[in-house]
Amino acid sequence: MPRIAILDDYHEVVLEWIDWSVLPDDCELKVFNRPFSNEDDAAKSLKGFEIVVANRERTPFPKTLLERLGDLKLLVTTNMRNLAIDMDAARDNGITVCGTKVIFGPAAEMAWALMLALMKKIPEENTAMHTGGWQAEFGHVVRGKTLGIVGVGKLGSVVSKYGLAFGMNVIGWSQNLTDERCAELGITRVDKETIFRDSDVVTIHQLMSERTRGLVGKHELSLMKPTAYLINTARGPIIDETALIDSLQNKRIAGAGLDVYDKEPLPEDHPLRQLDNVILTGHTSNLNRDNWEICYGEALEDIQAWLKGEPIRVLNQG
Amino acid sequence: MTRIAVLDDYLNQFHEFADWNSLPDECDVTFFNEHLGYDEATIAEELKDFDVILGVRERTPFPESQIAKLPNLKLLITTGMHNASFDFKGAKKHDVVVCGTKTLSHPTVEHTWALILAATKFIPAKDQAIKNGQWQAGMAVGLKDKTLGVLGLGRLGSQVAKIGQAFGMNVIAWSQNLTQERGDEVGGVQCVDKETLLKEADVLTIHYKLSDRSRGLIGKKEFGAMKPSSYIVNTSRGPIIDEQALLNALKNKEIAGAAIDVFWKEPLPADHPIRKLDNAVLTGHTGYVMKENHEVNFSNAIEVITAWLNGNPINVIE
Repeated sequence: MPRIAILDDYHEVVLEWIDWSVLPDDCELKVFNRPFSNEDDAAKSLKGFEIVVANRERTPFPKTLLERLGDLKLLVTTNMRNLAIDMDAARDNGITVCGTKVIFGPAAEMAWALMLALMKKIPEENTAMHTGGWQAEFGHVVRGKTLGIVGVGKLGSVVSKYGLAFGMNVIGWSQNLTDERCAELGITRVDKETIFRDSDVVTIHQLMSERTRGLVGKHELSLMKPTAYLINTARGPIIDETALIDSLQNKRIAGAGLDVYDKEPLPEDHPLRQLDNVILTGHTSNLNRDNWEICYGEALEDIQAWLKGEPIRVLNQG
Repeated sequence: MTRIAVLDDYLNQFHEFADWNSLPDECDVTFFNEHLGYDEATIAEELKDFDVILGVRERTPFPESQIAKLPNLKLLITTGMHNASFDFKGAKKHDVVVCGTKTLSHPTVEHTWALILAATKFIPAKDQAIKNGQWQAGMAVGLKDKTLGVLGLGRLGSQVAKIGQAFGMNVIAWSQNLTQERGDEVGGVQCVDKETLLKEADVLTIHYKLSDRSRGLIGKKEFGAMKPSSYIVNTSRGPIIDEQALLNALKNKEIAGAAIDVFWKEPLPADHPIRKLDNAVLTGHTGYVMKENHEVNFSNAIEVITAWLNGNPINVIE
């Protein structure tokens, strides 16, 4: 009787949106709606489960935890990448790791939502309106401003289209970015110093790697205009969080829109939560129903295939 | 001496937005930071000594009865070239010259998109949740491949439509007398009948002039035709949506949410029931309240006053 654990369903939607009844009758399904408090808690709670469905970058699966999960055979993660799972350690412990497709683009829409909310002061206005006020602050015009895209990959390219549609001057930088690619997109390639110095809005669309960790540090932040905004919907550690908080506290940049953080969930007493020049969302860019249906629908397929002995979308082969 | 009243400077910043000292020496400018209310006798008492009144679009109204109570008034200026709350013909009867100013249209287009994204990504609620110590609040609604319904494909509606296409949305439009030719001219916009617009739109956005024909254009019947998952956005004029019908639709979840910048009475009364609804993102007619726009408005207003003093009025609204 395979026991299946679905983790981190904070929104309690996974049972409602996906038809798990297609699994063999002897499968037992348990959904965890809250994060585990620590590795011990995770190890204890997951004892006896043969199959675990994890959500990308929520509960981490380092070597130390994987070694303690003696019953685990199949670990499914949403997305085809999950930096929080030690793939090699999983293989060494006889655990197959499978992935799922994700819809591409929510992070681009989220970046734009954060940028416009910052520049048009939407949360402040909305709060004023819901508490009896009228017209709290002046917003800023977007047209004619310079948008700097750090990381002109798939997502960065989508964002460049939004920028051009808004009449912005769009510049881009990433390692290995070519003039040909920029010409295709209708944007201008600049060097790293220039992108921070010239942009009115800098938006991060890099993948997380050792090379991009701390890519935006004290020096880069110091190059930014005092009127400029910084948006991050990629990965928290790409920005040096301490340097960013210092910049924001001292108003050396105008504000930041953040969906991702060094530590997630963001600790309750985190200083970012106290700032008035930030708009914060809780790593929710990929949280939309269309996406969830695809991710968990494919997770279900991964389980069915593995149960038949023909695993698909395996991430730790070889 | 020419006495000039600048009204509705709620944020006490209008003096910074233009070089008021460039007015002829005989001019004396007074800025009013509080809304003068709705009582004509009170307004008349406050403004009785002024030769020139500069009002911001749709803030303090000037019907003929109000103008009649201001015997010293000679020049009435509105920001923008349209103002539904100024009686232009009535002013003429009392020998008051009415002039407008230049204004930017793209701030309203940008604000429309800020509201669409704020509502569908729940930005104000998520930001509030994090600042209250929580983590994730609510899923987001994706826009790509969804349908944007544009009510009114004029100068503003067409710009909003083009941005929708940059988001990968399918854009449909309707207005009285709209032809497919116009849809083709804007590019890739399918012109449909009103029923189809309401039935198919995932996001319905209003870009219509207020007239007797468009008053209450979206009422009980229209909300009934919309999808329960859809959003309505209004940055045009409040009365185009029937007040009670919108309140009911939101309370009864006939639609998923609304993002509203314009109201039936402005400033919106402090105890208005829409302020209590958590599925309404609200801003206080700030679509055009951008620093950059007011710089254009007031610099031009100074030119209008100077030209009028020289006996050659410009931007006269007939």
